[in-house]
Amino acid sequence: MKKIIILVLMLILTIKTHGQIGFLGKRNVISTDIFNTFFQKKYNLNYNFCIGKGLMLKAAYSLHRYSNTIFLTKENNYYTGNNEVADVSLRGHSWELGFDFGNFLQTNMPMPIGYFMGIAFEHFSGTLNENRTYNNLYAPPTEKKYIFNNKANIFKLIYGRNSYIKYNFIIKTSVDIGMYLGSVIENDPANSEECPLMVLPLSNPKVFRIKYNSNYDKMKKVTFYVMPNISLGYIF
Amino acid sequence: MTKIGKISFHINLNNQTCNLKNYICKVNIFKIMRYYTLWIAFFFLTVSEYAFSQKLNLKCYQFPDTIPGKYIFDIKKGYDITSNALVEGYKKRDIKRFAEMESYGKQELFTSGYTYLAWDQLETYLNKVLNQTLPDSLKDNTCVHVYLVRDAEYNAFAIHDGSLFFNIGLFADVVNEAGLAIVLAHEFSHYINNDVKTSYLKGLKIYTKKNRNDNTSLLLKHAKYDRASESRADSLGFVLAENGGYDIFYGISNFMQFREIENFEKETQRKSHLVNMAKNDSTEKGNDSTISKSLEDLMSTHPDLSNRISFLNKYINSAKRRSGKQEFIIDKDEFSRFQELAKTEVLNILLTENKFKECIKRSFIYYLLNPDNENYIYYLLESIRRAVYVDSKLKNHGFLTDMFKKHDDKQGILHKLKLIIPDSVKFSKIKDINLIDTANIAFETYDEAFLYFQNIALKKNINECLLTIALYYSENDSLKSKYLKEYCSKDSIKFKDYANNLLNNSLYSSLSQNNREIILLDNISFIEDHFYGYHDRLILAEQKSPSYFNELRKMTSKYFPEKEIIELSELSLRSLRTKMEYEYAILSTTFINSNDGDTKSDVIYFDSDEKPGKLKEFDLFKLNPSYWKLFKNNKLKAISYLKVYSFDDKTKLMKSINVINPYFWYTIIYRFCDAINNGSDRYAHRVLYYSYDISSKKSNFYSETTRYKMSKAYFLNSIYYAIKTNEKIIK
Repeated sequence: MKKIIILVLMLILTIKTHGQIGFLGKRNVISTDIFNTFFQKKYNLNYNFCIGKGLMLKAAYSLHRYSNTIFLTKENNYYTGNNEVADVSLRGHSWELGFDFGNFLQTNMPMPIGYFMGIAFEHFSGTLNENRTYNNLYAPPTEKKYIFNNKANIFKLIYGRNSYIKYNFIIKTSVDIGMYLGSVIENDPANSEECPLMVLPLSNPKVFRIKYNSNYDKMKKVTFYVMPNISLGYIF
Repeated sequence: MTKIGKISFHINLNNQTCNLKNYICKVNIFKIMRYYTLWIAFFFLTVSEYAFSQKLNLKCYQFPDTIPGKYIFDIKKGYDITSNALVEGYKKRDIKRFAEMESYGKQELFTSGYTYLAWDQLETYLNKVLNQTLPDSLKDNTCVHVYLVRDAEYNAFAIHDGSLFFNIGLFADVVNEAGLAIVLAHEFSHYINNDVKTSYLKGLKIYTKKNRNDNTSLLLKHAKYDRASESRADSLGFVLAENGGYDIFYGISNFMQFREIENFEKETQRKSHLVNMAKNDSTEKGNDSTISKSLEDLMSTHPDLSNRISFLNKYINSAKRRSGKQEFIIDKDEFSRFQELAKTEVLNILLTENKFKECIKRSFIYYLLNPDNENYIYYLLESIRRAVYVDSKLKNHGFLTDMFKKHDDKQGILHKLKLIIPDSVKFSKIKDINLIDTANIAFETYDEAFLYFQNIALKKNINECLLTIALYYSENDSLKSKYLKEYCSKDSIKFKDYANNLLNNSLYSSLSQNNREIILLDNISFIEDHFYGYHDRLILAEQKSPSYFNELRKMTSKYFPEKEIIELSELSLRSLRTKMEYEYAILSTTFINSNDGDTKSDVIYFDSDEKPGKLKEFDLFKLNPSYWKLFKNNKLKAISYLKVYSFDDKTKLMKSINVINPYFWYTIIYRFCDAINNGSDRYAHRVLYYSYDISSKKSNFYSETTRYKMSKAYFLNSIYYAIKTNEKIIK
């Protein structure tokens, strides 16, 4: 991490800024993601700072409060009526660092406005709670609770556009292409026999199962996802 | 442009589309705007300098402070009349475009100062001559009216509603009233034949999206049509002029004069790009002149001059000409008086437009024919001084011969005076015999020419020339102060304050208290590219511009409180004179070289060692002392000019919403990446910003294209950047 910070600082120092930076001289942007707030209960605050006409530094902090009820039918047996329902809730937070690049030399539109491409790194840590209920027509329902600690490193490639609305408000529409890498799910020793469910912080509401090794340590699976973003921002 | 024709602004507007080879993202927009820079030049090149000297009797034209009511037209009414007029075989849409361009363009001719607004006597005289040629049924027609144009070129043109425009440059050199009447009758014939509208509508096909990049055959066809309409106008013009009582034999004199100009242009390489290209190709094949000549003839909008002359000769010989045809009918003395004034005015225009070599050439010719006129000596000296100031190497070049392709660097025009006066009749009228003597050449180079005419000016005691001489020798302090002191001792001089300050080396320090920084804001141009061609949305511009300008005012008051925004359109109605003074000051700080344009200056200010767009440091007040007065009177510290263009490629509209096409989705990622790299593929807007600051003596030219749709915020941001970048460069 230290190396990354040093690299970032070196990059900032080596950038020569010719002329003015920012839109109408405004270099700072604070924004929040509306789309993910609505669909993922991911409460997000972004801060962007223009360090060049075509370069913007990005830092974000997000709170994840996702919850969902998922029907996991083990047997599709009409007569027994076996099914499994999982109430999943995710509580966690993530921080994100990255850069957005715009081609000022060609488009002449200074950041933060205009089309851009970005790279970002996001680190998520949180807790995943699962309440599973097994229903059967011939037996009373049984309930089991699981608690998992969830950690993930996400590398993102972002394509988007910032458009000025009015009164210094901007709207950012973008698509994140993410690589969910080296996620760690530490199983609760109390429930070591069960498979955990995984909820990607930016995934759609469907919950899907991850393969893991028998010792429940590091997952070596890489998952890719595509997620739209619509953010409302204020430049100053 | 050197021939009589119906050449007018709308025709030019069509021509610009030749440059629009492709859509905005793939093409350097500068090419597109090149035409529009001509428009800017067109607005600029219309200001007069004021009378320099009372002793010189320079009765130069002065702009009225406000535009007289008779020159303000009801644009909407004009638009409605023209757009509702049915023209069979053409789409309503095209007629509306024509109406829009004509109605707004006509008003622009007057509000831009391109037309004389306060020279009633000459305008009345021209109208009397025109009236003389009109048939009785049209004599009282109020639609038909001649206006005098502030342009030194030999040209005249008509527009759709019967307004004829006659250049002062042509009037200055037309041989007599009969020659004048023939030109006016020719232009009137274009109006009668409805040539302007028909030519415009016929020409639209050339510039459609489909044809614009491969339209040689259409161009040839259109040029052929134009030549036919010119021949028709010639015929009718001769008949009208003859019926009016004029001797149409003098039409030949007009044509000869145009031929002289044509030949001069050939000699000085001022040819069209197309012809030069053809020439380059043909040189390899060894048949240089034939191909270039034939191509030039084919593309010409006017018939060959030899054909026109032979046609006129035939007409003169075949028709039963009535006796008693005259050179002058209205007033010979008035004609001569006006022509003398016109010559001075032409020199004044050329000097103010920074066309120094043309000014040198014409003032020299006028001097040879009339050496007693002190104005010509003054303009000759002043134009040499300015030409040498901007290009110091010129000093030792052969006087006027450097304009010709084949010339000896050190040999002046006096060896071959026929090069500039080929007409033997005119040559025989040269009064300064000393300069004809090839055995004893009076001067060779520009420097020697200056010295020669300087001595004449000193002998004749032409006061204003003392300042010119002092500025010419500005590197030599003793000579400079000698002439300046002499100049300041005179009573009736134009630049007394300037000279005193120059003498005390306080030209700039005396302006240190100036604090006004003005930005001259030109109208926004909304240009759209359709499948049917380009459309300059003048009506839209009129509707949208005020709200954009209001936002701009708010922005500048917030970020640049020291800057004062002045709308040129509003200023032209409030004080046309001030507007013209400002515009010319800006033009003089930024005029640039062009090898292919007649309307641009001869001189280059760009320093090749510096970054593009940045102009070298120079002394504006030394170039033209009248600007010092302008800056002092208006307390100006800096002056800037701002022009914005918005471009919308409407042909991209269908592509952007064609979501049912699988190819749209297949290429979406590519197109998105392309948008990141190049911005919008449909919209763009461009900002041009010229400025000059007296504190740094630097002028700057900023021109950038933003490839996004011009919303108000983006408009403001682009201007914000232009101003900021300029400030940084200037500092």
